[in-house]
Amino acid sequence: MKVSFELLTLFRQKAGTGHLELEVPTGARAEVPFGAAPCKAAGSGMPTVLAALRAAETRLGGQALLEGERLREGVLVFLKEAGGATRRVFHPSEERIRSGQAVVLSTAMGGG
Amino acid sequence: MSGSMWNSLLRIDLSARRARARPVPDELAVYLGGMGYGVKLLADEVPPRTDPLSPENKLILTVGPLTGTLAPMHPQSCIVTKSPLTDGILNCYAGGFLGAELKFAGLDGIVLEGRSPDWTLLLVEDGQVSFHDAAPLLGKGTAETEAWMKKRFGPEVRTLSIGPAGEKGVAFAGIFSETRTFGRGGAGAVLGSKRVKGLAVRGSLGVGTVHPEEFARLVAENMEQLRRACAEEYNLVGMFSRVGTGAGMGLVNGRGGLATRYHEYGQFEKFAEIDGFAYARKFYTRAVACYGCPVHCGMLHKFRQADGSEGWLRGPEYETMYSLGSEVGNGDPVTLAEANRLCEEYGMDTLTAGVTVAWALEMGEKGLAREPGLSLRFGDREAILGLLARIGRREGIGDLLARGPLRAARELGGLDIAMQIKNSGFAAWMPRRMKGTALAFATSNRGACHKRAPIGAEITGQIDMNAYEGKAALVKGIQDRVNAIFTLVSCRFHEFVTPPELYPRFVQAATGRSMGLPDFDRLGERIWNLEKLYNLGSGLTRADDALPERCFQPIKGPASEGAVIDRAKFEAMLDEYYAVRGWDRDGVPTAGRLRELGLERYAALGRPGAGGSAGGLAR
Repeated sequence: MKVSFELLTLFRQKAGTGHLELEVPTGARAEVPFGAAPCKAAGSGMPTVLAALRAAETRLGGQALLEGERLREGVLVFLKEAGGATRRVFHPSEERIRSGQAVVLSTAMGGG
Repeated sequence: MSGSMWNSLLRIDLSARRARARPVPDELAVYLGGMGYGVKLLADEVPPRTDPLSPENKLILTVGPLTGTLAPMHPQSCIVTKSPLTDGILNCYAGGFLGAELKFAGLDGIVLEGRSPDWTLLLVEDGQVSFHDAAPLLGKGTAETEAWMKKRFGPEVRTLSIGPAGEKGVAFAGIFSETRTFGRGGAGAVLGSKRVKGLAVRGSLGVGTVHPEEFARLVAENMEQLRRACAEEYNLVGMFSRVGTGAGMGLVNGRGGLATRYHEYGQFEKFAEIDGFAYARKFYTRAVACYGCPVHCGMLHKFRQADGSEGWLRGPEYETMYSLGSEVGNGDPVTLAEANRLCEEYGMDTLTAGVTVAWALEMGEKGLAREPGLSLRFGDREAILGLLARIGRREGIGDLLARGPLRAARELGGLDIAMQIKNSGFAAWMPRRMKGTALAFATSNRGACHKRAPIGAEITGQIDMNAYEGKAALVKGIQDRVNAIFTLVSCRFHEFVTPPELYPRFVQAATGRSMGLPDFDRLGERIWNLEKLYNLGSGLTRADDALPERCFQPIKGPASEGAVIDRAKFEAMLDEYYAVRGWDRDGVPTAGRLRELGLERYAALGRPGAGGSAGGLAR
């Protein structure tokens, strides 16, 4: 599935652009026994944020975003809805990207 | 000397041109220094109804127990005075080298009293004061004034100065110290009202500590924390060390929280032209550090001005990138740099200056304000620079704008859109986008303060920025903690890396004063309440802990979902905040809470009309 990325702060600077579109593997659909409807977590053709970040790491020339399956300290990831609302992702392996959503990559801002 | 503090305040009676050092009484010493000293001295000596620009106001410049030591990131000094902008109590800060030099001069602070008969420059050398004629410098900018003082008194002196805005009483005039700024609240106008154009300090004394070995261990521990932070690619403070404080603008914009075109929008389409990375990419850049700071977040940029000449500028800092950038619809980094330089030249706070200009631009676009020779439109270079110059000179519409956004709007209209709290222009954050920050802005004792708000937690999504629940206690905790940290006059970024437990340990090693983190926070709370009492006494009420009407209208443009304040929920959050603080529904500290904080003798301070005669923000 094609996934849109919005690059902010350091990542925008490194990539030389604010936007990327990458093909991200969705993984095999999980077996759905007895004809039941597939649940979100079972795999439904939607890639995980983790898979998207791995694709981004490659595209950004090895820029480390992950430590294993966890976000590297200081990396902020959001899922952005078509309307612009953003929601922080803390566990990239547990979140899937729906059609119309974009992945936003940033480093932190402080204060308070 | 008591460890790292000298127990000495220099009182300069400007009216009599006389100075004497006075010991610090025990009841003041428990406030540690910095903001604590300043707030208590002002509360004790300047009645809340005092006219801020009268000789009866005092300007209190202080340092803290870690100033001038090897503790990293403690270069700042603090000014407390009665603000001509808010008519309440003001605390403001500047980094650089002045704070350490004050300590080397054997002082914990300087209290300026009265009014000099003539414009003067003050030279303080190891606690001795001399007065010098400032007439040749009247009308000169801050950089020229400070260069003149260094030429006259020696290149090693550390200085502060005001520009024409301070001389003319612009309500948001700042005090500049070698490119660092006591920006907020109009301290420059207070110094100008005392006819002091500048101050130079030279010291030759060493600063000791009570437990030098423990202190050295703490310094090493803290330096290692900072070194690691600066070495980490994604660490915020590390990012500051590489591109300055403008590093995070992209995130704020991405979250719909970058105030744009006078807070009508939460995203600025040209943000990538003016953020920290843009300046680092487009201009020759050199990093500069304050005293004892391994971060060096100050960025000098060399740029070619519109007239073809080359110039250096330190900054712009993040808040200025907003106030003279997105807020006024300006996406040109050169115009932004020139506007920043104009503010330095005239000696004005870039925040309130920019926000006030933005108000005038919107009024112009609506046909409600005009100024001969200027087209008042967002993004118009001539209008932005022209308005700043007019404010600095108090000419034309600038004379009105110089009084601050609230007073200007009362005169000209547009009060509902004036983005101010207590007449102080909004800092670079959108309360509609971030509900905890909304509460912090509204309840700030100095007005719309970004230094004591849950900005990082909200903008990074660590907590839900749209939620109202739980924000009251969070904001109180931040306000108290930061106040405590400002008794040490720590750089605000120090806490981004340093575990809070280190602060009381530093205090003990430096001064011998034993305290735990709860005691430290309680000191911050005591100071917050003392400030609040002062503001109540000056006539500020719950109606001043309020947001402008625009905050109750949705943000326009993309990324605006949920970006509006619900009035009932905001008022409920304010009620909860007052309750958490132990205040009544009018925001008045209860007798019980004052007793708990050891402030019962200040109860009368909070009654309107507690001494003095003037009140500037009266409705």
